[in-house]
Amino acid sequence: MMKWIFGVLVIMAATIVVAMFGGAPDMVSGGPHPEYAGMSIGGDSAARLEGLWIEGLILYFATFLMAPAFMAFGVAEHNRNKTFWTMMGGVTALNLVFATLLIVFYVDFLNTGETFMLLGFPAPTAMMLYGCWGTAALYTAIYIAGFNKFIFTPEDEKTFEALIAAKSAEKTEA
Amino acid sequence: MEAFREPIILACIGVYFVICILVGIWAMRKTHSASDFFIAGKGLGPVVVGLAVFSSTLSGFGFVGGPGLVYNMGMTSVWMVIVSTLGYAIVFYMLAKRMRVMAEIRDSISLPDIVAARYSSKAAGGWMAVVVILGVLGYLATQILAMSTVLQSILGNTEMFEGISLITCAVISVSVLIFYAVTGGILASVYTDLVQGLIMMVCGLLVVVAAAMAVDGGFTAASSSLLADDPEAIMPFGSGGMFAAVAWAFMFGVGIAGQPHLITKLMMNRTVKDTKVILPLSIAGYAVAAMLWISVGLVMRALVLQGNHDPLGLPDDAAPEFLTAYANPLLAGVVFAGLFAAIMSTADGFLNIGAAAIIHDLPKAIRGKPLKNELWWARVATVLLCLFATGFALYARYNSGELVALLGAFGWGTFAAAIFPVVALGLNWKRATANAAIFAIILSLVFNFSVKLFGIAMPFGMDGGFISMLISMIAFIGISYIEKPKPLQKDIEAIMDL
Repeated sequence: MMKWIFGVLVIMAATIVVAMFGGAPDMVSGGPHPEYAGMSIGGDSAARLEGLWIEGLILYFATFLMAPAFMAFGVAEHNRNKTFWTMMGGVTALNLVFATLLIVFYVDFLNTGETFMLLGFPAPTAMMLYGCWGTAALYTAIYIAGFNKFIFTPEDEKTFEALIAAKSAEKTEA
Repeated sequence: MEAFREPIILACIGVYFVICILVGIWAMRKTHSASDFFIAGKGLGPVVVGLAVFSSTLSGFGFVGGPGLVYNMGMTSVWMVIVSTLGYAIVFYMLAKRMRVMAEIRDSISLPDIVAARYSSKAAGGWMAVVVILGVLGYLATQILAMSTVLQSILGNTEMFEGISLITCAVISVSVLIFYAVTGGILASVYTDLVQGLIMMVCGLLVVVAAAMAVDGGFTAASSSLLADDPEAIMPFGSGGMFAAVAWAFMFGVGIAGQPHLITKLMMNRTVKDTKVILPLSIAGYAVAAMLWISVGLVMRALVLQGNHDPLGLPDDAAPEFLTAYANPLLAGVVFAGLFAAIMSTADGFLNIGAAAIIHDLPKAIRGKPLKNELWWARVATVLLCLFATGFALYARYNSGELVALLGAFGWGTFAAAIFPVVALGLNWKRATANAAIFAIILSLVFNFSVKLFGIAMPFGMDGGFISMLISMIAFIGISYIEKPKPLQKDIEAIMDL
């Protein structure tokens, strides 16, 4: 699994290098607000991402994929069974659906200049706040529900107790 | 009630200071050893650890800097918050069990202890101690300066303390900090974290309500104002753009597992099983408190754009101005006390790991064994470290800020780059080597200091910490693959198999 993680990290780094060769469009990271000194603005949304969409999307989706990859890496290999992968895969897919909807609604806004409000925010931002933030909490649900099955199984507990016993025995001998 | 705004705010802060002192006295009676002082004797309950984990993540930055960033660049900085659900989960999946088990089996009381044990390398532990000490100095000086400045601005508004100096304010706030950090060690720290956590959760909820009521039409109207002025500000990547937002998302989401003051707390709970209670508590607490961060910045930007509030002098004025103009005096008082609590709890968390690095980890790395009477030395080191950081902060405030700017490089990103690969990846990957760990630590230090010292601009507005994390992780994994791995000690291998 580490080879997969390593590969994605290299792809992310290479993506940044490739993007740098293309140069930075104006306002790619915003500029000062013409009226208010303490504010910055993004300006022309489409123009500042011109030629950088693919690189931006690679970094964006890589971040959403790396997070569950690191979580899965933290689970002992022998505990990463079919149920674990199904649950992690399901939550990751759901999380990615909202991450994708965010982009779809954003691109739609860039093309049409219109969007709709959802629970107090424009649709793309609502996907970020309620969708991406909310669905990622399901990883915590997996941690709690699967604690005895994947995280710290009864077998793991026995091994842990044996380690403590061995340590106590060592101390007694010393 | 409005007429008593200043006395109410002062009273709230006074009550918080008294709570700190009482917690210090109480904790002193329970602190009998270095293990008690540094990791609370591994005996804390899940609720205490859960709230301490989330509140140590939010320093004064969460109250002041966060809303300021939203005011300044809209939704870009909100990615720091959005990824918290992913970030906390990464911390617990990767580290919670292994850190706690290592603390039990190897009697580890600090992060460098764990690194030294994992890699069977005193040098790796020593380098980790260096990272912690340098980082602690930078963070601590910043927190002490923030604490003194906030106290000065509050006291300076009253007739009685009009014209009070920054140095006097530093003496008052640092005295309280030293008292409870020295007497109670980490126990006092986590229990003040508990108070802070509760205050922040209550404030987060109440401030969101106050923020929604401050704009006619609530958040929908606030969003519409931002949309009409500059759509990008309220669009998901904010005015900072996609690259800056994604860089922060990665750095804060993944890099949270490299924050020493947070992950050290995973050694303090009573049992491994407690972690399944600690994780949801931490996430819930952070989510509620973070609402303050998002709502205040957004609403203040909307109010200024609508012409209903004067433009702010500085973005960081967003939260104080909001509290002054739109919050009930009692709520404002509690939030200011919460701000103090946030700064002080972060400061004492750093004091604690800094003292551990100085009196426990460095002697172990250099002479192979810890000092005798560690508890006494821990208290001495805490006082000296705090005094040194205070002097350093005040010197930097009144003289050239170059030194502080250098140590200021020690933000979240530097810790993430130096610690995440070595600890989070290293504790889960048997092939990782000591040389790779040392190289990754040195590389991240050199990269971050160079970026700061030479003012190197990162491409597309991305944070240097993100680039540094990528480089450090690639180097760590790459070198480990190239090197022939050494056999692990039996107990370490067994822990990594869990």
